[in-house]
Amino acid sequence: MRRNDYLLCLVIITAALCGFWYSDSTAADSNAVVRITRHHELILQQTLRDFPDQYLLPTEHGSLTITKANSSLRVSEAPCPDKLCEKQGPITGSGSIVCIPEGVIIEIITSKEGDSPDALLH
Amino acid sequence: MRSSTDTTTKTMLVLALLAALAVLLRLGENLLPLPVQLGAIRPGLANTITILCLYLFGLRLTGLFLTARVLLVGLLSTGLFTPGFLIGLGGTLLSLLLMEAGRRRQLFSPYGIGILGAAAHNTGQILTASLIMQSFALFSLLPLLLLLSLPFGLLTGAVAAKTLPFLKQYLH
Repeated sequence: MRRNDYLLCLVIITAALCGFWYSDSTAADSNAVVRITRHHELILQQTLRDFPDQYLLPTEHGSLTITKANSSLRVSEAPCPDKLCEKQGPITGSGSIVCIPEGVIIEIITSKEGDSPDALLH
Repeated sequence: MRSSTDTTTKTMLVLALLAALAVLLRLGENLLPLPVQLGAIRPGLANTITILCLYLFGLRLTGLFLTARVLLVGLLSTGLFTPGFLIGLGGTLLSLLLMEAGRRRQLFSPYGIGILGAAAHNTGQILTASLIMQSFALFSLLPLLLLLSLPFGLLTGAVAAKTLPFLKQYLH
C-alpha cells in the first residue's frame, strides 16, 4: 500500500465519523416527529411519543408493519420480496428507513433540525 | 507468429471469462453467510474483476465488460431497469469513473483503487436511490456504508493486486 492509499482511508474514516457525529447530535427526544411519505405524498406526521406501538401502512403490494419500541422505529413486516427495510433494523434519532419498491420513506425528525424555530419569544 | 486478430480474440475471450466470473461472484455473494446482519450491504467481490479489467485493458474495454456484467446481473437477479438495477448502475458508473481517474493519474495502488471503488460504489448507489426517491433520507446510511467500504475495498484491492501479475504474464 502507498502513502496515498492511507490518506484515502483517513479521508473516508473522517467523512464516516462526521456522518455518525451528525446523527448522534440529533438523537431522538420527546419532541421528535415521525414522518411517513408514500410516493412523495405525506401519509402521516405525528410526534414519536404519540405514534402507536404498531402501525399498518397499506402499500401497492400489501401492507408495511411499523413497530415502535424504546423511542425507535423499525419495519417488522414488509410485502416486498427483498425485505431490505426489515433488514435495516431499528432507527433512532434523525434516521430513516426507505422502502424503494413501495416508494415509502419513514423518517424521525428531531426538534434540533427541520422546521423547528431557532428561538421562541414571549 | 501472432496476428492482431489473435490478440483481439484472446482479449475478447479473457473479457468474456472475466464477465462470467464477475456475474458469478455478484450472484454468489448473496449466499455468503455474513457474521452480522448487514441488510443490503454486500462485500462487492465482483469489483475485483473490474479492477483487473481496468489495469489490463483500460477504460474502453472495461466499459464493455461492465455493460455485459450489469445487463446479465439485471437479467438474472434484479430485473432490467427496476429501481434495484438503476441503483446498481449508478454505483457502478461512479465507481468506474473514480477508479479510472485514480489509476490513470497513478494516485493509488490497486489496494487504494479497491477502497476508492467500494466507497464510490456505495456513494453512487445512495445518490441514485436518493434521485429515484427524491429524498435525502437515504444519506443517513452513508456513514456506515463508507466505513464498511474500507475492509471490503481492501479485500477486493488485495485480491486484484495479487492476481494482476499472473494475468499480465498470461496475456503478454
